[in-house]
Amino acid sequence: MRIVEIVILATALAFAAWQIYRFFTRGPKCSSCAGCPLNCSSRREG
Amino acid sequence: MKEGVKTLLHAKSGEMVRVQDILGGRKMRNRLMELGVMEGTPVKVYSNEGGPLIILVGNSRFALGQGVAQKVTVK
Amino acid sequence: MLGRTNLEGDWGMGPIELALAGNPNTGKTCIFNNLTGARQNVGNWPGVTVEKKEGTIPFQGRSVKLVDLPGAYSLSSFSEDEAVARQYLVNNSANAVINVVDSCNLRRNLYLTLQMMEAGANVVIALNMMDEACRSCINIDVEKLAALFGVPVVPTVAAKGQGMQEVVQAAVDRATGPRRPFKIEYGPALEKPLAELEKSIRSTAGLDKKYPSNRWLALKVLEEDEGVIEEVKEVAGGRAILARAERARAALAQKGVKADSVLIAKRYEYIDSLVAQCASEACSTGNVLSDKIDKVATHRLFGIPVFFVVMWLLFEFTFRLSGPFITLVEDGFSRLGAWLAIALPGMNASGLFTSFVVDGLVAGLGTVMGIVPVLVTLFLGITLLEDSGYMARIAYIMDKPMRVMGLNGKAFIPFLLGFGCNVPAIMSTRTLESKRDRLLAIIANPFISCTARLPVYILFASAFFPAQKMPVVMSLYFIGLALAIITVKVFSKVVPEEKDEVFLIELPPYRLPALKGVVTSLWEKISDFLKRVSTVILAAVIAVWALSSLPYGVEYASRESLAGQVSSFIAPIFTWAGFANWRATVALIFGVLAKEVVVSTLGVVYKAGEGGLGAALAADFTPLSAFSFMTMTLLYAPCIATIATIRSETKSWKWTLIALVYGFGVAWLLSVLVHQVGSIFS
Repeated sequence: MRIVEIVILATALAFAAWQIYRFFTRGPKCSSCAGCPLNCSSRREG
Repeated sequence: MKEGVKTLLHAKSGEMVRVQDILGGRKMRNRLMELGVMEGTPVKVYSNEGGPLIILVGNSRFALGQGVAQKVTVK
Repeated sequence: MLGRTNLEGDWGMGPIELALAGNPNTGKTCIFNNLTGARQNVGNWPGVTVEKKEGTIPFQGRSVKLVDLPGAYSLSSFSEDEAVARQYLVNNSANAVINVVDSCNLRRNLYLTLQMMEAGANVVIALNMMDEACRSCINIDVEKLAALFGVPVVPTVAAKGQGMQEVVQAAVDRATGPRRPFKIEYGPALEKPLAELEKSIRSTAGLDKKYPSNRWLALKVLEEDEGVIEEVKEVAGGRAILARAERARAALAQKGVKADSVLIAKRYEYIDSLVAQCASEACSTGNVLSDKIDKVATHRLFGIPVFFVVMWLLFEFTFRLSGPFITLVEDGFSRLGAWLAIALPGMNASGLFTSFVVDGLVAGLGTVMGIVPVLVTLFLGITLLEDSGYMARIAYIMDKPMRVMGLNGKAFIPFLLGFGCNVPAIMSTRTLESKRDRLLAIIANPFISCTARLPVYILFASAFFPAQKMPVVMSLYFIGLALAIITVKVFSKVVPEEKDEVFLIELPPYRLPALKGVVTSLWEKISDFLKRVSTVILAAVIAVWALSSLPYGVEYASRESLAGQVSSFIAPIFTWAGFANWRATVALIFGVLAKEVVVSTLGVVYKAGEGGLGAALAADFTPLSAFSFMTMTLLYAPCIATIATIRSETKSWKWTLIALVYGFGVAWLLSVLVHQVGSIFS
């Protein structure tokens, strides 16, 4: 395996780990804002 | 309930009535009053066809359940 | 604290916090959007906003924070969305409150105004023109209104953005200016106990500083306001005050005076005396067109059929449009996968890397991307229902059927929103006044099939029931709905009934949804989904790929892989349901992260990148077990976001756990039933 491939794979795994960590620590998000009576953080940024 | 007391539930579609009193629980009475439905308020019954009623109070239309309508006595 | 902060006087160039408050449907959210540039969803039914939200307005070089509050008719805690507004107004530090008043319903809107002024708020009235139809009928002397109430009044037309800067200017002036006390005289019978209560509040250290004004607190305890009583109970010396209020109420009751009713009536008396001086109505209005539509939409006989036609159109439109798209996108991705499977090794890429790209990324993401058109059409439909004002009518016409289940018509709205996404649906139960109704609506909601589950149905239905695709997909929606109904029925036996029936909902005039709003809402939808794909879904795809490739050297996606070993251990519980294979199991496990992940995981573990998923599935599923698996996917567990919402809305781990265990139990039983009964016939 070439070094580029190893870097990409490692990055991908780190990304996944980070995202899943974030998902559980920051609170998961719903799949949509339409019809949503809430004002979650993603909304505010928009 | 006494015989002969007319409630909103007895009002026909299109009828114009005046609220006499709101019986029933404190919560419901207060909510109706805060919306401006109280003694002497003219209420137009838009629709009373077996389901919830549609009434006009001031310039707003409200749908209200039969249980609520039953507790509002009118003239 | 509200108002009191101003006693310190000069605000200088410090930050200013303004709040937007008003009755439902007065255009608050529209004004909020105009001022902050945010693209908040503007709906036309009570309860669009059930939580406060914040934004900033650039104003003359200083930063002004704006808080939009849920619509409220009064400051009594009636439903939980209103409680949010009250809580903020009483306890937070808004320097001024922009009170949006619908000029067509002046009297009722001013009731809230009056209550806020009594609570010591620095009120500025934005006199908003909502309904074109009533403009010609109503005549308000703005200056006189301002003089009579002693607050600035700014006329606005929120929909056209008129009067926006003026409102902010007035509010900022008010926030920085002196505070004017406000008091309504309630007459000798009530003033005496009020004065006594005020006195004992003043001598109770824990309360004297806690609330905006002692008189306001005295009014609230005399009114027996549930929210306030709960708070006062906790304070040292609070119970003594409550007892005093109780005695005062009893004394008044002996004289035939219901304290709370009299207070409300007196406030209206006050409003009426002022309104009579500054406003006149030339004609008894009514939105003629709106009433005409209602003649059909809320008709005793036609109402429900019309609603069903609307819903049928919505789903028909969604499926017809999305079916071909899903196939197209899938085809595209499988071609891409096939090409990469050859091209990458051609560029000397290792087997592991090729597998990552083809089996992981392409297969995983490709299966999910097809859902975009479904999202767009379904949410377009829901947005239109909301914006037009039809949503409130749905609550009205569904009242009768919902009563059979022991709920009222308002409780139907969360179910409807659940077809989009269960999270906002569960939040919207806040508009239900009864705690019992809320709990029932929350527990049953996850059975409503959200959009994220649709790709699973489309995938399996296309692969195993190509001729009856639509009926199969629709049947799943109906199974979900039926189970939601049964769930309400079952749990309504367990949860004690409340007596006070309170079905009451305002029917706002119909409005034509603004194109701009609809377009932004759709764009929001798409970008939001892409964001999810690039974060949690992508992460799940990578994780599943990694687990299918480990330990190093094992054949990809074989039973010996990590994913294979763990899932094979669990899979036997699905034997009776007909899909005891580890691939289906791993998809269900990861699907809890987000329901779209069920399909992306199947893509990864079936190596869909090269040959397409449908064909690969045929090896493990029969049509019957496919249907059983779809049933399982529909019901087995809400996604994590939904679980978290159930927890935060019920504020109870017990009910969250009950919902989860019950949900999985029902799902397992039903998919076993499907497979076992189906096996007899086939």
